Amino acid sequence: MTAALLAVIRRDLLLALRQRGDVVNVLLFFVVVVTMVPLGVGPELSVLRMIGAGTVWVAALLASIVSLARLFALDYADGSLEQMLLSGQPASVVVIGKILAHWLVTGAPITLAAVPICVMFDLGLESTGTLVAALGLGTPALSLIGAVGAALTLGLRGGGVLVTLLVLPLTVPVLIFGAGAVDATAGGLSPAADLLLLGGLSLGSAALAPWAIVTALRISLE
Amino acid sequence: MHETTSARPGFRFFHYASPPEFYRLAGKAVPAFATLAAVLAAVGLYLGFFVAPTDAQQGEAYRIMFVHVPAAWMAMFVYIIMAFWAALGFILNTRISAIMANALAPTGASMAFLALWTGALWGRPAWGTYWDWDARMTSTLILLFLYMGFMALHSAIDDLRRADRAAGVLALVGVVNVPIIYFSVQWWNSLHQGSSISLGRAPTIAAPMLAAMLVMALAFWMYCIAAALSRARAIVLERERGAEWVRALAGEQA
Amino acid sequence: MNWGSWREFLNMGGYAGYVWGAYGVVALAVILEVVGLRARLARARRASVRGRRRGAG
Repeated sequence: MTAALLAVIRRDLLLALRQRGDVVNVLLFFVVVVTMVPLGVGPELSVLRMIGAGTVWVAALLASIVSLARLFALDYADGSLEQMLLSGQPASVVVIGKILAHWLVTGAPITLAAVPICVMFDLGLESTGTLVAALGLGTPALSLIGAVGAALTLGLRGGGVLVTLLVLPLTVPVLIFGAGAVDATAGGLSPAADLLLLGGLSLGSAALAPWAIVTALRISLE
Repeated sequence: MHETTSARPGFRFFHYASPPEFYRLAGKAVPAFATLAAVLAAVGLYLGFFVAPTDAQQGEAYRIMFVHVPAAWMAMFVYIIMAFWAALGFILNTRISAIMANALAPTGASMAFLALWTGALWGRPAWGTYWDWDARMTSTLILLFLYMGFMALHSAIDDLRRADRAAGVLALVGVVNVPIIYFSVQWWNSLHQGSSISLGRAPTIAAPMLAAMLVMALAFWMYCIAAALSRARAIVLERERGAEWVRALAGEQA
Repeated sequence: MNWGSWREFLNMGGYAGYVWGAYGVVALAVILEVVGLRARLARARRASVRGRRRGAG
């Protein structure tokens, strides 16, 4: 089973590498969205410090969801998705592999890209560290929850807007604890509780989402 | 055609899972629930406006509570029932289950909207502001989004069977998330309120106030059942159009 | 009885706008839903009659 998992991850990573543009675009999307906020709100650093964590998280949410279309759509279009599900491998392994690969090219880069963003918002070193940790712990949950939406809307017209509408409300806890961790650090308190809850959300999603994703894929492929 | 025997004597669920039987049964049930709703509402409103006293702090404005709280409760309750029918649809694979889930959604969304509207109108006189991002209202808003997502997904899919099942998955994912969302919003709200104690909106509840509220809650519940069953009947007719029993029915009434 | 007169009742201690604004929208929502469902059922029945006529013809 591990061999199959690694094979799926390797395949998706290779595909992503060949279409580097798509991956870079997600990162650019993230940075551009984040940059919009100070332009809209004004450069007052005290204000930016307050909204920085929330802004980064909202941008991370949007970037994750937007990029999820790629997760299944390409394989769906050329029929390989159906083949993967029909192959002997347990469907959940395929799904987890794809999500892991997806996170490696979206969630992980976003987590790292957050560092210069924190400078833009004048968040101190400690807050930056907490935000990076929070993103690292929370973006897997975003990929998992988003994948449910992507699987349900496979091949539908509404496109990115529909998936976003479906998935965003479900990501509210991740957003709250993710930004809350940074706020705690900024206020001199320990972010441990928020970070633990974030980790819990990711673990919980990893346990439950695959069922929903596989079911959704089968429904969409019938 | 439909099963009339079942494991438990007297429990003829699968009998009523057939569209024509459901249509008939619901047709009798709707007026009953509607009447109950009307009577309970009359009693509840009487209690609320003519028996319950004026509140010392909020004056007469608190009387909005008699529709706000029932609406909020129903918004949450209907979502759970919706998810229950969705789950039943997956387990038993009956068409009726998916139809019930779809029938409940608009009513639940309406309840969520009413909870928000009445809450805002209560908030202004009682709290000073129409909207203050408190945990319950914010959670209700997110619940409204979940309802709309369910309906949006269903209408975006042309194939009815896929639409039913996809929306069903979404409802189940949503129902699992709702407690987590509620908890996180409470957390979020308490963090940003600082040290202020969560001042509930409710006035000190006197017995007649509580009675009125509970009666109204029952009235809303009966109404939701009537509305959902009525919608389900319409959906059944729409989906079964052209079927023998539908034509026979039309023949009876033509 | 809480109210001395109809006037007092409608005035709701000065909160008329809020109270009746709230109850009014609730009543409106109920009416819209009921009327809408009645129309929907009627439409569905009419459609099934049409179906029948086509089949019988």
